[in-house]
Amino acid sequence: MKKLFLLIFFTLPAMLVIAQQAIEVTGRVTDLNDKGIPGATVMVKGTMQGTITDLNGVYAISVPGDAVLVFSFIGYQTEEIDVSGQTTINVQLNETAFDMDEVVVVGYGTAAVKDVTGTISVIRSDEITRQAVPNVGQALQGKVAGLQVSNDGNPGRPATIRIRGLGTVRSDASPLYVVDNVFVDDISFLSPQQIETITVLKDASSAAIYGVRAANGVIIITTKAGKYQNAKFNYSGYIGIQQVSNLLYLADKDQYITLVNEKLAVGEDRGTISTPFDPNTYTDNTDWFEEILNPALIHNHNIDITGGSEMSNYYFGVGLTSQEGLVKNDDYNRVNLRGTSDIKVNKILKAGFGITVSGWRIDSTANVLRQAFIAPPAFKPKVDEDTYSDPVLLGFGNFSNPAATIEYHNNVTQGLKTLANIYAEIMPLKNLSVRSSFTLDGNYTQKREYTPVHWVSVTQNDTLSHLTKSSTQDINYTFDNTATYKLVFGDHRLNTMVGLSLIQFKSQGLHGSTSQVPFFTESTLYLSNGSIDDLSADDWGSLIRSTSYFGRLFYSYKDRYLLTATFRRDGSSTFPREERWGTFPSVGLGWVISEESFFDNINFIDFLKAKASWGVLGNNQIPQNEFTVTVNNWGGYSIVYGPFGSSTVSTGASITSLVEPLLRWETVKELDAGIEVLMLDNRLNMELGYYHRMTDAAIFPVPLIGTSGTSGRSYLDNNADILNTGFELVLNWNEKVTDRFSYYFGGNFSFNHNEILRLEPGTLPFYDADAFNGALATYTQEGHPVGEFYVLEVDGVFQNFNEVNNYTDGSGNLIMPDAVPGDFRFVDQNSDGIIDDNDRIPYGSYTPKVLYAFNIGITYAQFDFSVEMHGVGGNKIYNAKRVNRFGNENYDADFAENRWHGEGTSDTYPSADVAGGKNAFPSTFFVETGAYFRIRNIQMGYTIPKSITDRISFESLRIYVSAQNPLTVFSYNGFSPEVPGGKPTTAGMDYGVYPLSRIISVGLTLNF
Amino acid sequence: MNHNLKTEVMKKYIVLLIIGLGLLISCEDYLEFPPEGKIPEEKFFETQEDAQQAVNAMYGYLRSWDISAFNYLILGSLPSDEIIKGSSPGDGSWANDYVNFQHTKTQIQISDFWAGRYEGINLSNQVITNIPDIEMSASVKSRMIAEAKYMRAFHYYYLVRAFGGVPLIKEVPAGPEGLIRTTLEDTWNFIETDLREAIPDLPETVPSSEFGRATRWTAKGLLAKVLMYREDWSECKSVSDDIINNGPFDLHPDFYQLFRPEQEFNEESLFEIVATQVPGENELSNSQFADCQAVRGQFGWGWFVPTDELADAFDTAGDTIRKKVTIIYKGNVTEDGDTIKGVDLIEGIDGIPRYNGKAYVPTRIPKVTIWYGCDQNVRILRFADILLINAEAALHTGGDAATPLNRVRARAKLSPISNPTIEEIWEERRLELAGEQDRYWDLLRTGRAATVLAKYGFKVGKHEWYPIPQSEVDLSGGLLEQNPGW
Repeated sequence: MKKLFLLIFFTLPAMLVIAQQAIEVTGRVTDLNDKGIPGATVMVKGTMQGTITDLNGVYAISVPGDAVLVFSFIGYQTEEIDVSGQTTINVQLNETAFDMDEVVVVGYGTAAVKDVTGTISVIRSDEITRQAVPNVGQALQGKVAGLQVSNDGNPGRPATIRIRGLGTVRSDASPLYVVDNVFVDDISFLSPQQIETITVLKDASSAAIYGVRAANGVIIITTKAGKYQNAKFNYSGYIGIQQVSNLLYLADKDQYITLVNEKLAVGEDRGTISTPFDPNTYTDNTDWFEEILNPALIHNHNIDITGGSEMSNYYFGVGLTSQEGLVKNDDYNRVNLRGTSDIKVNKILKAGFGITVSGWRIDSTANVLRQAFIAPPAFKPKVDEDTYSDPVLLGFGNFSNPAATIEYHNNVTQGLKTLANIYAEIMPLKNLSVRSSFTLDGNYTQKREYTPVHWVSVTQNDTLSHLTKSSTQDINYTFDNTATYKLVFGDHRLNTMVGLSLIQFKSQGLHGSTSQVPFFTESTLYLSNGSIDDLSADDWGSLIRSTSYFGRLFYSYKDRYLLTATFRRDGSSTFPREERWGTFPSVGLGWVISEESFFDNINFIDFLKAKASWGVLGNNQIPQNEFTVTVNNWGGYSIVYGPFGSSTVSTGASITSLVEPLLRWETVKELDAGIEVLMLDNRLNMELGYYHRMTDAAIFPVPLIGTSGTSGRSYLDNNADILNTGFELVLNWNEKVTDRFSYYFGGNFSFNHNEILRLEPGTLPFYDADAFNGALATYTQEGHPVGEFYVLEVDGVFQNFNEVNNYTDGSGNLIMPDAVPGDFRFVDQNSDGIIDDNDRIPYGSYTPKVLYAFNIGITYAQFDFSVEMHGVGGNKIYNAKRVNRFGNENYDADFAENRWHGEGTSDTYPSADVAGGKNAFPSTFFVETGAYFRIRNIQMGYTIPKSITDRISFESLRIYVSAQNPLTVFSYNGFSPEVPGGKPTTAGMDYGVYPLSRIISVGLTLNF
Repeated sequence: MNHNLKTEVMKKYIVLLIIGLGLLISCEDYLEFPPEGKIPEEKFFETQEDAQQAVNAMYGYLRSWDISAFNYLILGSLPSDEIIKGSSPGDGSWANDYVNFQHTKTQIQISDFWAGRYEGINLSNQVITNIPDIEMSASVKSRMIAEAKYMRAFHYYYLVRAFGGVPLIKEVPAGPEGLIRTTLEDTWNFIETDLREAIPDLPETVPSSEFGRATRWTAKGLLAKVLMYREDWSECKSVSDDIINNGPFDLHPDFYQLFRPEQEFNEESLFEIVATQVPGENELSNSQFADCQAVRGQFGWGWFVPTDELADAFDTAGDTIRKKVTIIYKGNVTEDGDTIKGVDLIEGIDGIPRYNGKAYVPTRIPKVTIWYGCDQNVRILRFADILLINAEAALHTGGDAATPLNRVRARAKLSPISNPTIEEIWEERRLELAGEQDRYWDLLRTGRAATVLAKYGFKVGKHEWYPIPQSEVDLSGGLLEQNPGW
């Protein structure tokens, strides 16, 4: 007994030593096609020790014999294998759509998906490039729950993006765009093919690291960089035709003249006698939209070369986009260049640089869509080859000839953006890395507007040519310094990061204009070629600097209990000294329930995490508050004294504003809770989240009493609370049935409730949104959404004078004494016998209540097929273009067909005198539903079989046919139910949006 | 080797840290700097140049939309019997509310008119409050302050005629006095005081390079008119006598030329709002006084057109000269050779379209900026008006009313009246000053509005005053009392 014991006692250590003894393990990591995966990570579980595979997928690592090796790579399921003394371990990794160990970009760093306690959405390169759109913002549509995109059909213009409702009234509501760690306002300079991933940070725990800019959500864009692989050449491109997908039909000549005569007849009821127009004297019939819109070509080409070794890598890409606009002569051209390289100088020093250059040019015509909408159909574009027809001669009024406008009012906007970045990263200790990065962001934009000498009519002419040039130069820089420390000990994992950032935005603008500039080619369009007397110039500038400190702590215990805490302190020069600094903390908790021991037997759920977060975010894009009162030298204060013919200008300037209360940024306090589930063998992914965002200290205008005499009739103060609350659901199913057949489907759904919770006493609700004729259409008040339409209620149309006379109040007085047959009858809500602002009712807003999307895709053998759909519900649009009338403007066909034209013909549409009497007053007639459903993309692709591509030494070759926006279903009477732009209180006002286009394209991607 | 490298790196790291700390310490300076492209308030009102700019601003502001264009024309002429909206049917139908006395207290034009005047008052108060501390010549300083007082009285004069007693803001910044209406009497007193204080410090004449700036006679002229409104007849007679007998004024012989750009600042002019066309400068050329009233379909909007009643009044008096200048019909050829064309139909006019001829600018003056006729000065006060004021005052004080009256009539080639009655003087005012935004206020002050305008909808006990803008009443928390009947 004793001997046995002694034997064990003395050999145990030896056995232990044998067990502990490091052994050399080698092997190859491959994918299912037996191709080596370079750069795959091989880690010893529970430690920080690891290595990566080489270009052939081969690795070698020295580990204790009883270690567990963890093999991982992006896009593949992580494998864990016990070493158990083996010296050769080969691993085949399975592709997976849902990889919880995948590392994604978060603010100032990366994190594994399973560790994230916030709410983020990640969109990968191929999802972005699937859309045949030149603008990255458009490619985000439908991809992220709670993110609403309103496209702008104008070529080259950015889409308007809103995340989780509207949390502000006066400040900018766009999310923060971070492109390679630089804050930018507009992402249209990017080429979608040069983007690696996009991460959308939606809640406080993920976004608070961006502090005072994060209140509207953050969209982080990471462009492509070098990779550890053999040099790979990639070409992708497509060519397509764009057409108007939902043409707005207009009244034709006969309908138009009938309606105009009806309008004059109604005018007689109102007391003005006029002569009707004789349709027989007008022989032409032009549909002006057809005239100015044409199918347009779009093509896009991208080439890039990516490669690298263990010590360095590189990426070089060139892109070209050319898009004609649906409106004749509109054009958008863009060139993108990107070069980047990372270099490992030695074991502790890594450095790199990156340069992104984007140059673009937009040709467009100002105002022509509106002119085409209102122009009488009774004239043709040209009288003869050289002369445009004069619409004023027709006698309908002072209309412009849209065809002539296209020729004579072209504007060109050109720009160049350069982002140049260098960085250095040091690892003084094994788990500590310090990184310092400097990026210079230079922008130059010039807008040139030119009208030549021309004569079309008495109102559309210029006896002198005019040239205006407006240019802005920005020189911005970002200097980021971060230190990251990772620690793993036992069951504990710790990641900490602290950072310091200095940012400057410096912008200067110069504007010049003169007349009498001749046009031979574009080369003569210079101010110096024009009149010296008429030359005027103006300039302006702005400078903003900010300093920020931030930090993040991530702690995980047993991979089960997660804690993320972030902190940011921002100081910005746009705020006065007393209010300069803000602190933005957040905390997120996660519980990976599936890691618990009681979950071991539940096999159909692969991953289940519950999370909650709370944090504070800021919005510093508040209106330019001059906490320093400055001199107002508006040109209207200057004067030329003296008799007729004097020309000496005496400058006028004065103080016309009050010292305003110190404005600070708006703060959003957000609470989130949610769960993430991955089940049924990693095939089903579901995320459900609830959020509660409260903007407190929202900036609200406080009307100034007129007797204060200031030139601005209101001042701004932080005096309102705005609430956005809702939930988001994401469901995705991805199944690989066999090697040749796989499919996926999924979607997202979000619901948002928007409300102004509280206005500080003394703050009055206010009207906004020009609805013409001096009226405003939206009203922003407590208990209602921001920018809600607030209009009179139409409950019918007066069919005859009897009805007008019977519409009386309690005492028998006529409520609408001036009404005539064909006019709207408005409800006297407060029964006071008159119809005025007090009879308005709330009637919806442009912020949708519901966003949803659904995608489906199938891959079978060499073919792949996918359909993407999305929709919006619960929102409204104000059809302002219908009421923007001063005379004999044309009508849209829907109105022409349904208008009231005699007793009993309609009880909902008014007579052709839409703007007469009180008809133009904002009413429920002009507020239409903005809900729509769209099939956004249908794509069918064919990948040439490997057997063929191998023979021509291509790695892969895929051709595809794609339809972008093939179908949009909506009932709104306009070109598109998406109304981009506008402030929060003017959102959804359609003054004339650019038509939506449907693009049919064919494309090709090849790699070798 | 490793160890040394490590210390090297550590050293560099420490250096970086120190630099970083250094940056932190200098942070506040990094973030503190004045706004780009603007001049801060505390740097203004330091030199005579600054003071002159503030004075110029007072005059330049008069060209604005609220002061001498749209809202001014709406409130000042639409409710009268001489001007209606005009333009095409369907264009701005809401404006007919003013013609028919259907306007409400929430209508934007009323609140903009009110706020616009207070903006002008602020510009005057900036001068009055801030200039005294500037080191500059005493005579220049007192002149500037006098000009500011004149301008302030000018704006309050429009406010009091429209609204009655109003809050009196006398300095900057405006305080709680902005929330309290003073009485009608006190408001008129304040206007009169401002004018009387300004008069001695204003120059008798100004060189032509300064035409547009107030002179002593400008202030006296406004004072005479103010006294007429207050029915202080003996004072009124005495001030207007002074202007007639001692001033350099006379009637310009050609009534048509009187309103043309070349005749700006002629012998009849006491005060004009200066408007000029400066090529390439839209803000300097921003007067839309002429544009709003110009021939529709040919020159401008065609709003504020003369009524049949006015045309008939000219005909009854046999007044062809003034009728021809005041009302231009489609088809007329003006003395400058322009044929009036444009649209066939003007709302409210049964027959040939017509327009206010006093706002007509001949086409021989080319339009080089954005608005038509932005050269046209707005004639605010003319010698003819002073003569008629003098005649009316004379009637009340037992003086000679016939002489001043007949001077005006003689220019219009009308026969003299030997013993004029008050109605005859009023009718002369009507014909002489037609289309100059005077008629409505005249009807109100003489108590004739109730009878003359009854058929348009004038209600006694309500329409004697415009309503205080409801938004102002709300913003004052109810302290501003609304006018009776509203």
